[in-house]
Amino acid sequence: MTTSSWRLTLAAAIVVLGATAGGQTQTPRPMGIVDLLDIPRLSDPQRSPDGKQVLYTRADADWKSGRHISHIWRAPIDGGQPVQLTSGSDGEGETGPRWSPDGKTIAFTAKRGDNEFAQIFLLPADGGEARQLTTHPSAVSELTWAPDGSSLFFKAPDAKTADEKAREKARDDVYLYDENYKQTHVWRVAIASKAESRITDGDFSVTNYELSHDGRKMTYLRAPTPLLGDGDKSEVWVSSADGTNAVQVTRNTVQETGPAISPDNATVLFVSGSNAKFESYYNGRLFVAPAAGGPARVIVGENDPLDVNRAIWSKDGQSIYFLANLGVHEEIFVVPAAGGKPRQITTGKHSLSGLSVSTSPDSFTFIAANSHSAGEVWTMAATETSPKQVTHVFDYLGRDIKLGQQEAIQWKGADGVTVEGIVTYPVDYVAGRKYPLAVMTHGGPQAADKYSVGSMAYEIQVLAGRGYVCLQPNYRGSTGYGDAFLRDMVGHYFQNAHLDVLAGVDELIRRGVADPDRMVKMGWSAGGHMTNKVITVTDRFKAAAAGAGVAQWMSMYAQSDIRSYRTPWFGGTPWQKDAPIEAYWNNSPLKDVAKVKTPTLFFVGEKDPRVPMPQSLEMYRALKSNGVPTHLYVAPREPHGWGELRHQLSKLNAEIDWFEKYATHQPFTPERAPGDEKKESKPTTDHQQ
Amino acid sequence: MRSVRAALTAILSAVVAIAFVGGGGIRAQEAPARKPMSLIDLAELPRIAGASPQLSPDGKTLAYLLTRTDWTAGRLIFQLWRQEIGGGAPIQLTFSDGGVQPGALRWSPDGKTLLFLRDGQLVLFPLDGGESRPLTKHATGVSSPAWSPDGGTVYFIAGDPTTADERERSRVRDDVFLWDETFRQRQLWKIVVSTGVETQITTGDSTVREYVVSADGKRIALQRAPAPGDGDAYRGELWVMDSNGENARVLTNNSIEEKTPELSPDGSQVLFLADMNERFEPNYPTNLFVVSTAGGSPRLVVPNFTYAFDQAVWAPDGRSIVASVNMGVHAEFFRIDVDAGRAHQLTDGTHFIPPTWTAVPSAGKIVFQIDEPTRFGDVWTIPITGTTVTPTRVTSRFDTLERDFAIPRQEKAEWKGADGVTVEGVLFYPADYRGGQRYPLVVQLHGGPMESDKFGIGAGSTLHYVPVLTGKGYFVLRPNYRGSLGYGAAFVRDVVDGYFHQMAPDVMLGVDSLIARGLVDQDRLVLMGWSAGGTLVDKLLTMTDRFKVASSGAGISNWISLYGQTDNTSFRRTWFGGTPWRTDAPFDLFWNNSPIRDVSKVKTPTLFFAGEADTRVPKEQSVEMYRALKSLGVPTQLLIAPNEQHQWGALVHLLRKANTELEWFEKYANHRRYVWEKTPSP
Repeated sequence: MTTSSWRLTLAAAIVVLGATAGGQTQTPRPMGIVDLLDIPRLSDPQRSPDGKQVLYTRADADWKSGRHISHIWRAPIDGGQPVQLTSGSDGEGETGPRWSPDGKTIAFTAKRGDNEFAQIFLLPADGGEARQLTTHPSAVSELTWAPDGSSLFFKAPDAKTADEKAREKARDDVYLYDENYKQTHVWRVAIASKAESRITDGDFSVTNYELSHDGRKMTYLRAPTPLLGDGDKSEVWVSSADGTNAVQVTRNTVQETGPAISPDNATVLFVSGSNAKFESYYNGRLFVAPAAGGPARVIVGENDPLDVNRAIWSKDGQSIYFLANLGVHEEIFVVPAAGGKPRQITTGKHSLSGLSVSTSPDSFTFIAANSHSAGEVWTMAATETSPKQVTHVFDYLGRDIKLGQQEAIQWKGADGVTVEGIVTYPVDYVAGRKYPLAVMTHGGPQAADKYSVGSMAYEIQVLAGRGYVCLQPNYRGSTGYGDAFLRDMVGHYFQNAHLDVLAGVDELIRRGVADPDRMVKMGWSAGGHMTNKVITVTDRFKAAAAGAGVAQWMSMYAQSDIRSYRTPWFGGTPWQKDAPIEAYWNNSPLKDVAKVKTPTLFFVGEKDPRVPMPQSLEMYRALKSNGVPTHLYVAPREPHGWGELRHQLSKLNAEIDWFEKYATHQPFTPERAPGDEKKESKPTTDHQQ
Repeated sequence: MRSVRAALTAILSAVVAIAFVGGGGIRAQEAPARKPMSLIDLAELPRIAGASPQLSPDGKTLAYLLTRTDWTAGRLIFQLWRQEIGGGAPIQLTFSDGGVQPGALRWSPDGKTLLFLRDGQLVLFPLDGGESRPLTKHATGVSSPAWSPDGGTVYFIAGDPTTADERERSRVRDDVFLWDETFRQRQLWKIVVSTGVETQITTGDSTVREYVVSADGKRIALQRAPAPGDGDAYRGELWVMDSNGENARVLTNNSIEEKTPELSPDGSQVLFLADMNERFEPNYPTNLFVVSTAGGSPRLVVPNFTYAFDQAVWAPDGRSIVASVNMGVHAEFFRIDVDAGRAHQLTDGTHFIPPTWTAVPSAGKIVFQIDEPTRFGDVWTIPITGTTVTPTRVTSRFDTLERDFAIPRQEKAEWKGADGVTVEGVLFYPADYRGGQRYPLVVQLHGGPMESDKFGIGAGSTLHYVPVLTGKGYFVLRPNYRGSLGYGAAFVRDVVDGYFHQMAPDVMLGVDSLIARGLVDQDRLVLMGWSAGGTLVDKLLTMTDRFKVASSGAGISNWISLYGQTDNTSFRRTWFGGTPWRTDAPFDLFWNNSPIRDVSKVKTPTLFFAGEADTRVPKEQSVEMYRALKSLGVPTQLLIAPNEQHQWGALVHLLRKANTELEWFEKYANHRRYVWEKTPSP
C-alpha cells in the first residue's frame, strides 16, 4: 500500500475493486467468521493544525481479552506509514484524541494503571511518553482544547458521594430504577496547574457541548437527565465558555443533536429529526437559530429529501457543511448559512462518518466505508472535487479475501412506491444461476443500509463466501427517501414495511438470482422486529434468525429505555386514557405467532436495555410451545449490540449452522476462536467418583 | 358455591376440643417495658429454622438449627443446637462463622450421629463428642440426604457436574447460553458411610426432584422430571424402584406435579399430594392421593375435602395417614382413614403448623413447629397414633417475646364477599389499640394465589414486618381473598378463566367491614403485596383510589408478556384458557385482566419492587407499571435489588425495602415523618 498513486476518487475505487477481486497472485479465500470479526475499525479522524497529519483511533480484535482494543494512530496525509502512538493494554482514545492548537501535544482519554475511571493523558506529538493530566473522580470524555491551548474542556458525570460509596461497600445496593444516574456536566482543566473547575452545574445533564471558534462561547444540549429516554426533553443552550450567561435557545419536545456556534458567535446550528413545527419523526433537518435566543428555522430538509446527519460551520461562517444520508449512500453537502440550495460535494458508493473541518482552506477529514472497506481515513479540501485516501488498512480485503460484488437495486412496493436495497452477490457469482438468498433487514428502523463489508449482526460477506446472495432492503420506514417513505410507519409500524421486504425478495427471484426454495431471513433490533413479523406472514423462508427483536409492543413500550419515537407509531402511549391498544397489538408479531412455521433462532443480550430480553423470551417460548424448531441464545453482560468477540463468534456460528441446516443442507463446521485450535474439545464429563 | 361455613362447622363439630400443654405462665407477667418492635428487632429475633427440628430415634433428644442475624455477612447464620426432651437447657453444638446449611439435618438410625450440610457437602457430627467430619466430597453441591434404615448408607441428590469443556468455556467467558436448555440434571446418589464410596443410582436425561426410602430400605419412591426447573415439575411423574436403581417403573401419567411421595410401611403403596381433582384436572386444592406400587390409577383418598393438604405421612399401621392441613387462617393435624376416605381433625388453634414436620415411628412421635401469635415457632410433639392428641411443647425459644415486645393481638376477621360467600382474613391490632378509636390500616395481600395467610408471624417476616407496622399504630389485615387455599375448590377455582373475579371485591369488602366496625380510619388506608399479592395490588390501584399509598412487589402487570417471560406457566394454564400464542388464543381474557390495561386510572402513589434475577415474575412486569405511573404523573418509584430472585434474601435489601415503604406510608397515609432505621454496624 501507500503512495500517492492510490489517489482515486471513491467512485473509481469501486471499479478498481472489481479488478482486485478478480485476480491476484495470492489465492484469495472466502471470508470466514473470524476474518469478519478481525476486520479493524477506524474512527474519529483529526487533522493536525498544520494539516499534514491525521490522528485516528483504530480498534482491533484482541482474542486474548475477548474484545476490541482501541489505540491511537497517526498517519501522514501525503503518504508514509501510519504510526501507532499508544499501546496500553486496555486501550485508549475511545472518546477521541485531540491535537493541541499548537500541534505539539495530543490529549486522549484512557484508564491506565490504578485509574478507577478514564482520565485525560497528554502525549508530546514529537515523541515521549504520555503523562496523566486529570485525577477526576469519574470517567472523563469529550475533550476540547481551549483555542489558546491553556486548558482542556471535558465532560464527566457527577462523582459518587461518600454515602453512596459506603452503601456500595455494604452491598446495600437496591437502586431506584431510572433514577440511579449521575448528572453529567462540563468541566475545564488547566494544563499548567492541573486545576479542575466546573463549568456547568445543576440538576440537569449536558449530553453534548461545543466551544465556539474563539473559545468565548459554548453551546450545549441540556437534558433533565442523562437517560436516553429523556433525549426528547433536551434543549439547545448557549452560554459563555465559563458557563455563565446561559440562554435557552430551543423549547420543544424533540431531540436536537450536534449544536454548533457560528464563527461570529451570532447563530447556532443544530440537527433534529423533526419538521419546521418541531413535530417529531421526520428525516433529519438542519436548523439555525439566533444564539441569543429566538425562533429556529429549517435550512435543509424541509423542501428537499435530504436526511441531514451532522453539520459543521465553514470557517468564514458563510456556509454550513453537512453529511446527508441518501439511502444506500451518504455524502458531504454544503449550503449557504443564510439558506439556499444545498450542493453535493462528494459522490460515491460509500457511507461517510467522523466528518471534521479544518482550515485553511476549509478541508474535510472523514471516514469512508464501502463494499470492500470498513472505513478508511480520507481528506479533501472544500475546493477540490475528489478526496484523497490517507489510510490503506483494508487493502487486504479483496486481495487476500474474496468479496462478493455489491450493487443497489430498485423495485416497486405493493403500493407502487420505489424501494431500494443493497444486493451482495455470492463470490464467484455466475449469472443465470440461482443462489440461496439471505434477506437482512436493518435496525432503527430510522436508518438505511448502505454499501458495506458487513458486521457481526449482518455477516454479508461471510454468507457471500458460502454462496448466498444477500438482500438488504431499505424498507418503508427507512431514512433518506423522503418523509412520506419514513412516515409510512406512523400510525401502525407494519404497513408497507414488511411488504417492501417481500417484494424485494420477489424481485430477486424474478431476476433469476435467488432460489425461492432456499431463503433465510435475519436481522437485529428493528431488523429482528421485521424478522419476527415476516415469519408470521409467510412460511417462504426455510430458516430465520432474530436478534433483539420485539414480540409485543405494549410491554416493549415500557421495557425499553427509549419511547419517544415509538409513540408516533401507534398514536399514543399504551397507558393513556383510551389508549390505542389495537394499533399496539395488531402490529405485535406475537399476535400472529400461532402462524409461524419457520425454524427460528433468537439472540439477545442479558443486559439489553433497548429491546430487553423478555421480548425474545416471548417469541422463543411461543415457538417452542407451538412445536416450531427454535433456540434462544442469551449472552451474559451484553447490551443491545454484542461486544465480546466470543459472543459474536457464537452468534455467527449458530446462525450460519441454522441456515445451512434448514435452508441449504450444506455442511458447516463452526469456527473456533484464534488460539483455541490447539485445545482439545472434551465432551466427556469428568465425574469425581 | 357450597357454603364453606357449613362445611367448616360440620368438621369442627367432629373435633375433640384440645387444650394445649405448655406455653402458659408468661402471659400473666406483662411488664410495662414492652416496646414496639423495630425492623432491626424483628430481623435479629432468633428463630428455629423451618424443617430443622429433628427428634432422635429414641425420642429423647431434639436437634435443631437456630438463626443468628449476621450483619457482616448480611444474612442469617444457622447453628446446631440440642435439647433433651426430658428437660434442661438447650446446648449449642456448632460455632463456625459460616454456620450450618439449613434443610438437611438427619439423625442416624442408631441415634449416635447427626448429618448436616456445610459448604454444600454432607458432614457427620458424632453426638458423643468430637468434631464433625466430612462425609461427601462430591463434585457438585449435594442436598436432600436420607439414611438407609441400617445406617450404612446415605442417599442424596446432586447435580450433574460441569464438563472440562464447559469449564474452559466459562474461563474464557465464551458464555453465550441456550435459554431454557442450559441446566444440570439432578440425580440420586448414595455413599457408603464406612468407606466413603459414592455410587450414582439414577442416570439419564431427567432430574430427581424428591425421593423417599422405604422402611425396609429395599425400595425408593421418587419424583422424576425431564428438567430441574420449577416450571418443569408438572411434567414429572412418580416412580418406584429398588434402592439400587433397578426395576424402576412409573406410577403416574398426568400433567400435574406430584409432591412429597411417601411409601407405606409395607412398601405396597405410595401417597402423594397434588393440586388436582380425582380426574387429574389442574387447579384444585391440594389433594391427597394413594397409588399402588404395583401399578394402577392413583386414588383420591378424601373425596370433597374442603381444605388443602400441606403434608402427609403413613401411620405405622399402614391404614391411616397423618396429615397437616391448611384450613385458611390456621393449619391443623388430621388423621385420615385411607379405606373409609374420612378425615378426622386432631388439633385446633389460632396457629399455623408449617408443613416441614417429621414423623419418627421409632419414637412414636411427630415433631413439628407451631407458629402462633405469641410464639413464632417453638417445637412441639404429638403421638403418631391415636385419635385424641395433646401437643407437648419441647422448646422455649419465645418465652420472652411477649414480655419484651408489644407484639400484636391477632384474630380472625370474617366478612361477606360481593356474591355472599364468606371471606376470612387475619387481623392484627395496633400496639396502642384502644376501643372506640380509629386507626390507619395496612392491607397485605399474600402471594400464590393458591396460598393463605394464617395466624402467627408467617413466612418472610422481614418482608411484611407486621409487628413493626402494628407497633407504629397500624391495623394490618391479611385477607384470604378468592383464589386462596383452605376454603374449598370453588373458592380456589374462582381464578379459572379470567383470574380476577371476586378477588378485588373480597379485599375491599374486608376493608369496609373494618371501617364498619369502627376500627379503621377510611382516610388512612395503605395497600401492599408481593408476587400474586403485588398483582392484586396493581389491579386494585386501577379500580379504586381509596388507598393513600401502595407497595407492589414482583407483581404482574401484563399477562400476555408475563406468560412468555415467566419460568413457570404450568399453573397459569387454566387462568386464561390456553397460551396466548396458540391459534385463536384468548387474548381478550389475557388483556382484560391485565392491570396495565387500566393503568390510566391509577392515582395512588405507589412503590414497586423487583429482584433483578427474578425469573418467576421478571422485573419488566414492574417496569411496565412504574413507567406508566411515572408518565401519568403519579408519584412512584421502582426499587430494583441486584442478584435477588422472586423472594429477596439479603437483609440489607429487605431493610431498605421496609424503610422506603414506611417512609411512604407515613408520609402519604399518616402525614408523619419517618426516621430510617440504620443497619447495625457489623
